[in-house]
Amino acid sequence: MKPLPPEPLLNLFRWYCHPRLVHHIEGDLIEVHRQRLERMSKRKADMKFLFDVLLLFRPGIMRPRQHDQHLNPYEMYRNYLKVCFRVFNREKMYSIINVAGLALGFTCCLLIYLFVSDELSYDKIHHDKERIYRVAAAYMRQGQWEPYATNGWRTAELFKTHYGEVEELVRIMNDDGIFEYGDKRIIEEKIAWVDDTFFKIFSFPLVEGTPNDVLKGTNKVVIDETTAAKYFGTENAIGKLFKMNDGFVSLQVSGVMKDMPSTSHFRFNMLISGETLQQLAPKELLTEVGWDSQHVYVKLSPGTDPVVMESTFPEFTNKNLGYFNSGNFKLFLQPLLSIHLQSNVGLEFQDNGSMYRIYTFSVIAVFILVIACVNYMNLTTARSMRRAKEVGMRKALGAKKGDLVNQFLTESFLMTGTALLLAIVFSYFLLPKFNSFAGKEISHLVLFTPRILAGLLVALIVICLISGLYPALMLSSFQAKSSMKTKNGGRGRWTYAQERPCRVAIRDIHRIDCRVRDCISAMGLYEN
Amino acid sequence: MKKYYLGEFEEIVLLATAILHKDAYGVAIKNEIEARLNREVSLGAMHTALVRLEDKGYIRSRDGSATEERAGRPRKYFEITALGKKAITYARSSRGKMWDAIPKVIWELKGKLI
Repeated sequence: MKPLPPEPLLNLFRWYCHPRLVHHIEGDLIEVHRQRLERMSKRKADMKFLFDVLLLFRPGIMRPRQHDQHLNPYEMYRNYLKVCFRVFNREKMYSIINVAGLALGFTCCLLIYLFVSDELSYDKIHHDKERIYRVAAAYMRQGQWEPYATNGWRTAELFKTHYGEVEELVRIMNDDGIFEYGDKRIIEEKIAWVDDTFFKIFSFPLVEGTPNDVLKGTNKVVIDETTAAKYFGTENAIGKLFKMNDGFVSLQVSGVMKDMPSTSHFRFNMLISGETLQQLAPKELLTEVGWDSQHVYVKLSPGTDPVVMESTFPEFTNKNLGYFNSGNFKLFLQPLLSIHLQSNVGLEFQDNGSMYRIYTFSVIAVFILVIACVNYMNLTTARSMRRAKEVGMRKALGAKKGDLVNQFLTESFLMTGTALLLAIVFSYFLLPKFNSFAGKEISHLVLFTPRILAGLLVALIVICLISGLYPALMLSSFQAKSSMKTKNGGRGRWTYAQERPCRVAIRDIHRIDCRVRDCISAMGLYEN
Repeated sequence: MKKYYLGEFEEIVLLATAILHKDAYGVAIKNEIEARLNREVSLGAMHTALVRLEDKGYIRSRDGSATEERAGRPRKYFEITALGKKAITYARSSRGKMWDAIPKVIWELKGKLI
């Protein structure tokens, strides 16, 4: 008998080839292979045969997709939907627990996601944000460096003149005071004295005034829109005069800015021009490097290496800063973008977040999501026994395994979709509570930004597949004959599925509860 | 207007089928082309072309008998149809017209044209 080409390759070809073509092309393949065997080694001929088989793998020769060729899939999906609703109705309690559990999990994840993305979006609005640094200082006290966010007025001045790399420098001193306009007397707690370079470094948008000169000169103040509305209503705020601290100083409104976003590591309602402070403050303070009341921010020229710059700080300190020397005083740079999540020094403007919290929450979110999916899988497979007869019937009527997988995935898609919609609704109504709990100002509208919606869509598909695939494969593998005879779909002993569904649900919920509490208490321990 | 659509390789396969007349089946066509044109022909490319030619109605096929050298697999014989003959005639005449229209001077030029 003459030799045949390698059987596996031939089988591969038979598998993908169109049934109409398979016989005579196979004949050609074999004939060519035999012709080659007379001219070359078996090894070489087999290699060529492999190439032939691979080159035959093309649209004209491949078998067309088998399913849905002459069927109307729409009708079938209608049937799936109908059955899905019926099943939902038949076991209401069950289905509600299932969907609600999933929705709860999604809600947690969504809220955590909103929190985390909010935390990660701090100070991102400024142009050149990568070049902005805070010049902070540390003091040697009892053998340890104590870092502070603030620096001296005079130190900042010296710093600016000494370092050519500093493109712009701004000093910010936070303060509070009583403001008077007409019959209004209000204590303002979020005010700051800032140099006129403020808007050259930070790009908070101005509604009135130009960034370069809005803070030039004495007795000028820039207020935000909310404050403008509070004092002047609908009147134009520009040029209005405030009396501050019972007539100690009067301030003229020279600009109006948009409210500073909540994702900024400092937020002020009013900015008073620094020259005013220069006029009011005692001269000794302004020439004294120890008056560390100023938060100093610099924008470095492009291409400056902050590490190289920092290495010259000790020398600068020794030469210029009077009684400070590199042994008891240390300057350092903090990148603007790192301040909110990584800086935890003295005299911060406000409590900062922490990277640790971000990681913990993200891990918890993933856990909750996984548990919610597993829970869904559990519940669905646990009640699958009730569906065994249906599966058997469908198979008897000619449904293929693929059709059944399709059906159960449709159901899973429907359930997951419902849960996701519920999660959006829950999040929408929980957001105010969540905001006050987490100290955030996340807007409802964030839920409907394209990014979140796209993310939810992807999540829907992925979660639907993850949580639906196992039940779908599991259910569709029942034997048609035995599923109608025996109790468990002809799959042998399978006790878990026969447990009472409510007990399964309660146990799973208890399990989720424990895990989440573990995480939260672990976090609490760490933070204390 | 394009009356007959015939790709370059399809045309070659069609011509080979016509040359072989009654004996045109897969391997024979492949060998014919390889021998005459001195080029490697893959079964994949050839069978795709044959399927397309048959779909277009330029060739028709009939089943042959199984033979021992093919381990019992049948041959499928192809034959050029009247439409197929028109198609190659059209291809040839349209090329011929184009050829005739090339100015003589083209053949005298050497090197690159500017």
